Amino acid sequence: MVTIETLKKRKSRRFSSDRIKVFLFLIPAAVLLLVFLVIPIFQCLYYSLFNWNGMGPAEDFIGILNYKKIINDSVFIKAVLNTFAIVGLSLFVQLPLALFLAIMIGRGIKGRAFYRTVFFLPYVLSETITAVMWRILYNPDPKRGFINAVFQAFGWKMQDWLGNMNLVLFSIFIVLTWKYIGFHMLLYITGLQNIPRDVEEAALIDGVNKRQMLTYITLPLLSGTIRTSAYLSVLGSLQVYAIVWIMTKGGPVNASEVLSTYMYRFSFVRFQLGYGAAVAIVMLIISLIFSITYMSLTRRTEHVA
Amino acid sequence: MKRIFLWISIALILLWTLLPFYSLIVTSIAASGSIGEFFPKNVTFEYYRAILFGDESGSKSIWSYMLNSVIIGSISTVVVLLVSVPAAYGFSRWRSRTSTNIYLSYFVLRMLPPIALVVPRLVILGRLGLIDTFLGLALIYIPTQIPLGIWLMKGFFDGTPKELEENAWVEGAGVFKTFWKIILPINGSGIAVTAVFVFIYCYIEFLYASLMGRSSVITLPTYIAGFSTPWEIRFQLMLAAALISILPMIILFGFAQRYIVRGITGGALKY
Repeated sequence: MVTIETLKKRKSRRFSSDRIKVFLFLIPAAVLLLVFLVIPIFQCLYYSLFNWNGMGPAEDFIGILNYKKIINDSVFIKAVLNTFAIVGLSLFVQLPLALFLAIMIGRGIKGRAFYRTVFFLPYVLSETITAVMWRILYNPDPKRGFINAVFQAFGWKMQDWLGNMNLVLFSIFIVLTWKYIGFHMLLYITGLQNIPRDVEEAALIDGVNKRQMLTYITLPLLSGTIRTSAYLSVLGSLQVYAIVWIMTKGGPVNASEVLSTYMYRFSFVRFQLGYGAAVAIVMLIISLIFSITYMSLTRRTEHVA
Repeated sequence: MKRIFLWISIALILLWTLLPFYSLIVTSIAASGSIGEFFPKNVTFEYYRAILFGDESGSKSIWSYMLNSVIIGSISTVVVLLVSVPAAYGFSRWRSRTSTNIYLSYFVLRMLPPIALVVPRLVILGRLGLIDTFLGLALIYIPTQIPLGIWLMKGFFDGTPKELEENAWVEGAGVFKTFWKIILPINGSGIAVTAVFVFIYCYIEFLYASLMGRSSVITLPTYIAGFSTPWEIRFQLMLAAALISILPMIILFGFAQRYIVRGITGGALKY
């Protein structure tokens, strides 16, 4: 007689015994990633040991000299610090702002679709255009640049937004926030929609106020979304390239240099491809550290996979 | 009082979001002396004409580049879906130490900045003779987007009740048939969302597009950046082209919005 127990056993055997089929599902992805992600990484490692300008085969083997030069280059250190600053600002300024927007316009307000579309709009614009457009906005001449025109109109002190070494990174961060805030807001809005209404209604009946609701109920239930958006935000911040390159080329005097622009400069402007490859490897190591940190943080709070 | 304060801040953010678009529009119609003016005194539509139809000075119309972008976006999107949907299903349903490790290593791979791998990838593609071809560009975009595809799709599959396929199996349907006939149709909206994200990425990607496209495969971002030369930046042409180039994306987003909202809900949040 077929009992429920034996059926269940059969089902679970099905889930565990189809190893070969599982790997059939995974193979296409694995092959592509191997050829275009994993092999390039090893190739990069190889080039990084040479003094190579990209012409002909790499022959001038110099061992780890490139890495020594990187560590001793103050511009590289500056680039690392700037990149970390962007990561930090994104996590602690941009994301809370996105969350604020999401909570404000997330639910039950008229014209939700309008707000959603407007705030998402910059995300669709290519980085090239974003950078060019903001360069116009940041033009220090108030006749040519909107922002200084507004500052002038209010009688505030006008700034050289992209030319001032102390200000330039902040100016770039404003652009990055402008471009990516809508994406994170959309993540949060949908996360909020996911929270079951009855949980909050029950809490209201129990007499919690709005602030308590936010700290003890909404935010904890939203933690999965927040993790996702934090991960994507760090990812994006480490990869920032086109916006910085087009707006400032890393200047003035390296004040807005980030890892990507530093690498790009050596590889494709100065054609020191061996050195560029070594920078790439250092970037990979930094990314790896972030990934491992992220995973160990999430693994502790939630069962992964 | 507090509410008023909140609404003022929303209004300010709205202004901050839209002001650059206003600037984008007025600059694209400003005559050459009026760039950057809040209300340009001299307005002209000749730049739009140049972008839409080409002009005498040799700048080509936008359409062939838009077509290139759409082609590369479509190829990549289709392949990414073909590869990552089955993989995500595998990860979602058969969990083991090995599959978890492979899954996590995809995350690490996704973390790598695309710029870090430019040189070796160009060398590989150069040896294969794929520089300046659709295939070559697709081979860059596809592996970059596969982890994202797997990530989103796994979320959707995790949200699909296991009972559905268990019932099908008890009734004798095979694993692949169940996947094809039952699991895929249910996750149609998830697939649509993943497709939109992948497509947008390919449509606006600049770095690889500019390095790979020499003459035959020039996509929109490269075309638009081409109005900036070491000697001059032709702002109006650039921005007019940019505005036209985002129209298809806005339409796509409009269509997909309901899906996107639903999609992110079901997908990414699980991790």
